[in-house]
Amino acid sequence: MANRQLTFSIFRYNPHTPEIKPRMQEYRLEELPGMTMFVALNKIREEQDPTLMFDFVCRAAICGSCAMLINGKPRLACKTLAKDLPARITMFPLPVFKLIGDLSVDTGTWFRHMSLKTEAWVHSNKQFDPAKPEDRMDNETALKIYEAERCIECGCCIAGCATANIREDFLGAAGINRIARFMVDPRDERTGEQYFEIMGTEEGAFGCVGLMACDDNCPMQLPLQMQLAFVRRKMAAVGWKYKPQAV
Amino acid sequence: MSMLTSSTDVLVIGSGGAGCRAAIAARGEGARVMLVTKDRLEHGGVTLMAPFSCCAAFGHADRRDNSGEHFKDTVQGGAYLSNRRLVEVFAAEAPQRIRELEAYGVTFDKNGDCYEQVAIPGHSFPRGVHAGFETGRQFQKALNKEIRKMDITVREYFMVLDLLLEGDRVAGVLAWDMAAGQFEVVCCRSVVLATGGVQELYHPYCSATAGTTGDGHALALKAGAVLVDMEFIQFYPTCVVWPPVLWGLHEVSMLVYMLQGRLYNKLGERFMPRVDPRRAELTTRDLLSRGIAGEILAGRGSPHGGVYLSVSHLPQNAVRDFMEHWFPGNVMRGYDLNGAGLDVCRDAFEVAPFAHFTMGGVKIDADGRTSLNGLLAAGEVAGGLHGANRLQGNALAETQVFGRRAGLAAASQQTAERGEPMPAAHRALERYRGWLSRRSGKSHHHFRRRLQELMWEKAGVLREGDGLKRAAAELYALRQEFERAVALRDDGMVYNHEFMGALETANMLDVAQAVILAAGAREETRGAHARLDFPSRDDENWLVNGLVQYTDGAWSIRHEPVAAAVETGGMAGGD
Repeated sequence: MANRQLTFSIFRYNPHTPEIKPRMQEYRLEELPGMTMFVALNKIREEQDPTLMFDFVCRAAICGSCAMLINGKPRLACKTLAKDLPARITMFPLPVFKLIGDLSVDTGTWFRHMSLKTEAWVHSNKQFDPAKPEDRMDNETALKIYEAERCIECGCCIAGCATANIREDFLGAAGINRIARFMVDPRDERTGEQYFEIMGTEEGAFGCVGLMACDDNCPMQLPLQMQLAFVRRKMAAVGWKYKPQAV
Repeated sequence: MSMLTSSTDVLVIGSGGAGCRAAIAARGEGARVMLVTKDRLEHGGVTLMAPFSCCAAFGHADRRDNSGEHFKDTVQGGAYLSNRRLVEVFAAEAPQRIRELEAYGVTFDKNGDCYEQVAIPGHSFPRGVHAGFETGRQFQKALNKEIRKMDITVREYFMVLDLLLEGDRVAGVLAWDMAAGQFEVVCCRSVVLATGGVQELYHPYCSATAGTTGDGHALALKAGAVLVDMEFIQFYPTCVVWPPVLWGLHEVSMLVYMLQGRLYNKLGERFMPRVDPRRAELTTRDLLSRGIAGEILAGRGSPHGGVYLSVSHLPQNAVRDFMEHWFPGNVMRGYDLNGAGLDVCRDAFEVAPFAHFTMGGVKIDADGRTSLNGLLAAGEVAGGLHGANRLQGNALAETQVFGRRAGLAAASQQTAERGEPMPAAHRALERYRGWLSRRSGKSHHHFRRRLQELMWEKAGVLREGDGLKRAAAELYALRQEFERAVALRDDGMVYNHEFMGALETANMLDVAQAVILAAGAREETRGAHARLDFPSRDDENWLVNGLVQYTDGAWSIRHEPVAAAVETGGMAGGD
């Protein structure tokens, strides 16, 4: 059977040459066995158009660089197979993030803002003593932290989020997941009130309107819906000034 | 084109494990620190790719283990070319750095108060600590958090083009701020290179990230610094080349190590017993790579440029049970084997060796100081620790031990006045302006592809004197043509991906020269360097390190004896 001819309709725009209006450009490519969108884009760039802009680092679904809208859905290009798509494929950059050009967006600025806003580091007054073992942590807690840290910060949850598309300051599922990670970590000495300052707001856990596209779109299948529920429960508990049951 | 200037005390280039640790250490000493990366803090660097082990001699699994044992294993694994002083501080300090990462937020797998330490090939005792199967990512994320906490200036999309010298001292860098679309001179007291390896030279046979274009190696070369052990590139023997959707997946090595999977050439011959009659496929990584590459070169490879890896000699239910236990749902590192149309019980993968790690790099002392005043290096860009071959589990620990040491040394760099290296910057700029203004010529992809083919064929797993000579001649011509003819279709300055690609390709061309020069000079086979014309190890003549340098427009190589340890004054290790 002959290979399919694929038609890629790709969004082209460089914000620094605004005189050239945004447009869709078409490229044709023969489908190869096992072709991913990452492979296809590289072939286009190497063989047809060296000016096409898109991001990738690891080529193996680890780094989270190559997220984009593929036929309307936020996906990693390196994990999306041509054989699962129709012969006509459209590609847009992720919304919400600042456009660098074509399919490339600046997720770095967004994640830096989120990290600083949530103060995403271990808050501890303990001095590090290299000779002393760390305090014990039970296995269940360690697994919860590990699970939250599987986030590859690709931005799919943010791009697919209705609230994030409307509210610039919404911290989104990535931010809520990040805060959940510190809430369960006994090494972090922040109090419920301190977390409430960050997350008990419309920018935080209460801005979410519960559409849960984040959960559907996460390429790492993180339990984002559960994390939201966890953080909301905690925040509600602090907000109503009573001690919650163990969660 | 206008040019901005800025200043800092310590400039760290690269935001992987070593770069982040160096920045944290330097800032902790009170220095002003600027950490720059050509990508983004969350995505750049190869550290986050490391799935599993980080070795440190805690002795938690076996109380006989200690830093002396780790020293011995590392020296032996490196085929006796490791700088003993580097190995000494590495083995001694690795455990402290692991503890520190735990304080930063990494959740290691533990048994009570003890780290779970697993057996790793090449290490005499169970020594590998890990955070699930995502150790590298957990490291990187914890380090990123510390970076955000401290008052460290992070510049993303910021590529350093040249080191700027004032006299014999590095006084700053010429860089390109992609977001602003401007060239920028950063004046500083010291520069820490932490840019990773050169594996992209062998793409598509490259198991690292796409950014491993040897940027730091090239910066050091262009400034006249000494590089060491550049002939040693580690290849991971069994990476998938077919089915293509699994390209590069190296976890299939589990089928070799745990199921005694077999390798066949296209004639159906099991060839590894010829290479190592006793261990066959269970031999060391270097011999396995050589065996596979030998079949491919001899024209006995599989249709897609590899050899067959199969476990079909085993009962199908035994294979199914194994897969269900280790890779539930037949999913390996997120890749669905069923979706790839492959039945592990019956079908063979096609596998080939992929460039995995760069042992060689900028020559450093135990504090990360290089041969140039004001220039430091740490992590994969530095050379000397691993000698001729790196042991599994030693790379992550290296980033932490030497990142910290280089950061401390950089912060203590005493320089009276900060210079104004503007004339040097303007001279360096001419070259890049030339590329940007050239209207017709060839895309940098053209040069990169040709270089990668040349490196894979003539300076890859198996090398040979005549081939290396031809490679040197071809590379010379390629470099000349690149300078003359590389042209960009996009001449913008803001986030110009094509310009960035051309800069990387230029770096790769420089680094390739160093690899070929060093490989041609070493007339023996040792560790990751295999010469068909000199197939055995020659301790009489070659227990020396090769030093490559580029000065006054000329390349040179010389050799010097391996550096001894300080604490013991000795060269002990192994045997």
